[in-house]
Amino acid sequence: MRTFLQLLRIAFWMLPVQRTLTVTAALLQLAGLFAPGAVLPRLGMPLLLVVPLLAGGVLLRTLSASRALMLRPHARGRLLAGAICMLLLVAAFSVTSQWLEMRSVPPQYQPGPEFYLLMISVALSFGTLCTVTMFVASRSPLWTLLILLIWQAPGLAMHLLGVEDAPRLLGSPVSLAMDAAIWIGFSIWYLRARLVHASSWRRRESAGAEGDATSLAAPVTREQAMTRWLLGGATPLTIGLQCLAAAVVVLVIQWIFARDAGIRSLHAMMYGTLSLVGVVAGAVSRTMASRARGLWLTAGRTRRALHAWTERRLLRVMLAIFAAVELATTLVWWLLPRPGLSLPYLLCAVLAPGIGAAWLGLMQQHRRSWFDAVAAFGIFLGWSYGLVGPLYGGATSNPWELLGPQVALAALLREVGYLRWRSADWRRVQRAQAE
Amino acid sequence: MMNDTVLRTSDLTKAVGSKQILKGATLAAGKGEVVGLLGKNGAGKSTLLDILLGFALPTSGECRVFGERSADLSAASKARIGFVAQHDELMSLMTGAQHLALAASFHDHWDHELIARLAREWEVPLNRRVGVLSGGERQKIATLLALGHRPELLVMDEPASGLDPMARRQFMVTLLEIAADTSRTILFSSHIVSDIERVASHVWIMREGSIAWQGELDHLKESMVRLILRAEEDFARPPRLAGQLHCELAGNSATLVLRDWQPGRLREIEQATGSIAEALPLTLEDIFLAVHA
Repeated sequence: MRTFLQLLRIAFWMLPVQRTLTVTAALLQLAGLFAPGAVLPRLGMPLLLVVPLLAGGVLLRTLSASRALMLRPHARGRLLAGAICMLLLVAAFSVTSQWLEMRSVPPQYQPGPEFYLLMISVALSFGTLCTVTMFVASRSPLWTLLILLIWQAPGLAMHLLGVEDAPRLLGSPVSLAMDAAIWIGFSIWYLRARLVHASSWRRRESAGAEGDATSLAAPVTREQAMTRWLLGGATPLTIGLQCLAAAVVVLVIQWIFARDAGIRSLHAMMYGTLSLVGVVAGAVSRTMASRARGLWLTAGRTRRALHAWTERRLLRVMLAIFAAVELATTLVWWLLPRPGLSLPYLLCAVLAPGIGAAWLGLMQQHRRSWFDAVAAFGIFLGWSYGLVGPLYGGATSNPWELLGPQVALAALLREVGYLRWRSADWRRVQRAQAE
Repeated sequence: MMNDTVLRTSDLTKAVGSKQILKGATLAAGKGEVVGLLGKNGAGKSTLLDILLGFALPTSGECRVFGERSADLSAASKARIGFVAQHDELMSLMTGAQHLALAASFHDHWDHELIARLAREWEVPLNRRVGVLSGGERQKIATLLALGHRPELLVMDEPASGLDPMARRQFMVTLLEIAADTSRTILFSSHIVSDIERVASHVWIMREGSIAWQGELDHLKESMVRLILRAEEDFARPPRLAGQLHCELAGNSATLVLRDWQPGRLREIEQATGSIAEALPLTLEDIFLAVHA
């Protein structure tokens, strides 16, 4: 019980943002008590449950990976029991929220116990899926991809079997039995496993060093060694190929599930996704900015020279990623019915957000400020109004004028990045990264 | 005395692929002993500790802690062990206080007073997120987490490596305080020889996966000496004596490090080498260097 209480504290009250969400959700629920029929409880529930549902599995993995915790008596069992209790709590919250909302419905339309059982069952199924799959997915990017594919399996099976009422199926006894089977299987493995590996979504600093160590036999120049460090052992080519593979997998999944959704929706979704693959350049450049700190002494360069050198490496990575995106865009254009926008415009529009994101990532040398948030929002607007919106709306003329501001934003971010690097305080950079 | 044995290994080996990390370690530690595990980087210290605590399985041999196989420790035995990892495994988003509260929830008995006192003495910022703390501060929190349930066996893998000299001294003083409780066994690895010399009652010295020496620290120091031989003429070749680990020649003078030393040997060596011999005590650092020479 004490462990469960601590887990509750971690899930709902650990960080200021969690506390804010919890208090807001509680206030909305209270408002629902005094204003029957309002949709406030329905709004509050996602706020309350978003963190435990999305982060619960990751949290369970992180706590379980500690070797010191393995020596605590019955630690795994207590954590597992805590996770299951949390799931039951989520189901209880969900049903309470529904009940608050339904109180104002006329008695003849009041849902019966069957409805609430259905709600409990759906909540348990969704919670089980979230917790267990996030636990597995957080092992590594490869496991995340596998889980992404497995996650689609029930939907695909239902589609093939012609099952249309998915919520009812999720709420059926079959679903509850499946939940129980998943938890039993997971528990047996979890309690017997000698070691639970820590999450490795983020490339560790040492990973690059290990990668270097394996290839120590081949002599490398100083420039090559620095580049390896900066890219964590990867090369622009491997990054580009990974992006291409990820884009193809996601596009195939989207085509399987959304081919009946209408061609305009499919266009918006697929080209929008391809553009997001380009935004990966932002994540890579952010990592490069943080790793460049380690080169400050060894590179023997000034801050400005180090920025210029890092930027040149980034341009190579961008070239590889963007080539993958352009190739996939051309393939989609060639294989699917064509949208109203021209291919040259699409080839430019899918890249524009990625260019901005790349320089937004490279300027992450300081604690993030409001400017970063505004810039990120600007990139999102460019993506939305310059690509996804026109495709979804079936536009037939190319809105070239929307690409100009995106390029201008990217240029501005480059200049801001240059200024930040020029006055980079490496100690503060280190602290900001630790946070 | 057998009942006082807290941990015991026999012929423990560990291989990963073709690499032999442990090569037949046979060890024992009794109640109240403070054992310093000494070895160079890569000597197999962390692997040995991992096997002792059941985190890893040995390739062959046996390892028992509190009489139980370390691979299958019961909850009752686990509750008697505290562990500080070489690299702390704390969650960056949690505060030290939250970590302590979570750890306390796993135990029936948790010494809140001890933790509060140590946190005060070590100046640990418990209310700040672990992610913003320095390596030393994180290490202190990891140590507090291992001490709260007053373990009978405290295992620490290079606990002071991340601490600054002031904090290290303070940490060692506290370790001495903890070690004063004769019912508690402490096993800690380090490559900082002075730390082990200051605190440990027993030493295990590891070299390339093997146990080069184990036993009481005082006995180790008594059994090894630096022997200086001075002859009237230059030495034509290095002297060869029983238990000799190391020899340096400089004209008519030879400096040797000998193991299994007994004071009565001095006269015997003088007669055998035709020189004047002088036996000097060694520090643990000298011994460590001689063992690895």
